[in-house]
Amino acid sequence: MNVLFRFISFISIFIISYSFATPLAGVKVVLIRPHQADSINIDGFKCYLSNIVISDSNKKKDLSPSNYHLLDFTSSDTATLYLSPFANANLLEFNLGLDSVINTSGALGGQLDPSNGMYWTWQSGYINFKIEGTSPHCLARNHEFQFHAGGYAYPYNALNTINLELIPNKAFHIEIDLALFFKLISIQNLNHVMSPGPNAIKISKALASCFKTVIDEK
Amino acid sequence: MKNKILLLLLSVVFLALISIDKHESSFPKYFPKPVYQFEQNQSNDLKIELGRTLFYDPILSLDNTISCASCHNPYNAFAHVDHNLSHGINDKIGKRNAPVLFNLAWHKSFMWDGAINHLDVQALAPISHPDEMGETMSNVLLKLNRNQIYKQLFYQAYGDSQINTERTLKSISQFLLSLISSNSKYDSMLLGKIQFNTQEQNGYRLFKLHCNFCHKEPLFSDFSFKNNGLSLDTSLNDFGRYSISLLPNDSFKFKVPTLRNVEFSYPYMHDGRFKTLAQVMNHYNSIDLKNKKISTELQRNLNLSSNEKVDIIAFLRTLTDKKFLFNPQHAYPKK
Repeated sequence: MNVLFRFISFISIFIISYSFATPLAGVKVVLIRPHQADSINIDGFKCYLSNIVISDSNKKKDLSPSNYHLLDFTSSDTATLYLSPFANANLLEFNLGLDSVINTSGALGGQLDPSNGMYWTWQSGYINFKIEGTSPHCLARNHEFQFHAGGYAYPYNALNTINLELIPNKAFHIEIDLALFFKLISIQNLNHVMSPGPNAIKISKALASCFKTVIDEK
Repeated sequence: MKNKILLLLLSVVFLALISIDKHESSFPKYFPKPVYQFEQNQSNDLKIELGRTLFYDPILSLDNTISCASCHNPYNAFAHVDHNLSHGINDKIGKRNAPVLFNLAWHKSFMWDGAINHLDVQALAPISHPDEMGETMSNVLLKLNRNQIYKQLFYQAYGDSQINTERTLKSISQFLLSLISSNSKYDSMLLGKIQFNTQEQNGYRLFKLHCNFCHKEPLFSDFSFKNNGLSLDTSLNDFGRYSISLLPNDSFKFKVPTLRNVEFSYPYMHDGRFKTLAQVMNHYNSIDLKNKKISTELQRNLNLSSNEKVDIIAFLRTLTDKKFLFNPQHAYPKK
C-alpha cells in the first residue's frame, strides 16, 4: 500500500510539473514608506495576497500556481510576486488577505503555516496583514502602533479585492503606499487593532486603496 | 504513458475501495454524519499513537510542565476533575472550565465560545495562551526536532522525519478523533440489549420533555450557543460567544456541552460553578422568567419535584461510558 502511495505521488508530481512547466514572471512589489516629515517608522510589514487573476479584454486566466502569497518586508522594501506571463493583460485582480475557505480549512503548511506568525491562535483565522512601528504622534506605550487585520466571518469579513489596471505588454511593478495608509487612518486616534471587528474592516479598506501599478520606464 | 495512466486510475479506484477511514468505522450507525473531513487527515495507528504521545507530553508548554492531559484527564472523560477553571504554567489560572474531549468529529466549533473553527487548529490555542502552556508553535517545533524519539515517531507515522506545524497538529487531531464514547447504558438501551429501570425510564421521559431541545440525542448536544440564565461572575466578566462574534445578541451565550459521561466531568458550566448535578437541576428548575435574554427553550417553569430531579440524574448516569473512561488505549502511553 505504501509503495502504491509513493507511486501515485510520483505520477502526480510528474503530471503537475508537466502542465505547469511554463516559466514564472517575477513582479516586483515595492513598499513606499511614509515621508520623513510624517515621523512614522515602520518596523514590520507583512501581508497575504491571494486569488490572483489576470485578464485581458475578453478572457480571464488564473495566474499563479498556488494562489496565495505571503509578502514579508521585514528585511527589505521589495518583494517578488511570481506570476505566469500573460500576453495583452490589462487587468490584475487579487485579494488583500485570505478568504473564508482557507480560514476554515484547519492546519495548513508552507506559506499558510500558522507558525509564520500570521495566524490568531485564540480565535481561528489568518491575519491578512500586519503593520507595526513607532511614531511620536502615537499615544500608546512606547509610541508603538500595531495593526493586525483579519476576520473572515460575517459581518466582519476584512477581505478586500483589489483591481489594478495594466497597459498591455508593458512591464510594471506594484507599489504599496504606506504614506497614504497613514493619511487615511488617524494614528492619534487608532494605534492598536488586534482582532476582527469594525476597526479591522476600516484599516483593511485603507490598505487596499494603497496598492497601485507603476509602468516601468525603459 | 498510457499504461501508467491506466495503472494510476486503477489504483485510485482500488484505494477508494479500501480507504474507509479508521475513525469513520468506529462509531455507531445512529450517530449523525461527522463534521470532520477524515479524508483531509488520513488516519493510521502510528499517527494516533504519535498524537497520544504529544497529548501527554509537557514538551508543548514553555517550561515543559503542562501537557494537554494536565487539564484533560482520561478518567474524567478528559475534563479537569474538581477544578472549576483551567490551570497553566507558573500556577496561572485560566477563565474557563476545561471541557470533556470525545466525539469531537461532530463539533462545528471548539471552546465554550466557539472561537476555534476546526479541530486541527484547536491545540494552537492552549499551546500559545499565556495562562495555559505559554509557548509558541515555532518553539514547539524546535524542541520536537531536537528530540530523537519524536524524529522516529514522525518517521514511522508519515514516512519521513519532517516535523512541521501541520503534521504536529493533525497528529493531535488523530488521537482526539480516536476518542469515541458510545458504550454507555443508554447506548445499550438504544440497541435493545438492556432495558432502563423505572427510575431511569422516567428520567429519560422527563429529559426528552425538558432538556432534549439543546442536549440533543444521541450526542447530547446540538453544538449551538445558548444563554442558559447563569448570572455574570464579575471576577471573570465572561461574555461568552459575544467576545468572538461581537453580536449583541450573543452576550452570555456559551456552547451547549454534551452530557455523555456527565457523571464524571464535574464541576459543571463554563466556569465550573456547580459541583454537583443536583445543583445543575436546581438551576434549571429556578430560571428567572423575567430575563428575556435567556434561551427560549428555557423560558418556562419546569416545576420539577425532588423525585423528578433525582430521576433525571439517574438517567444522566446512564450516559456514563466506563469502557471509554478506562480504555487503556486512551491513557498515558507507557513505554
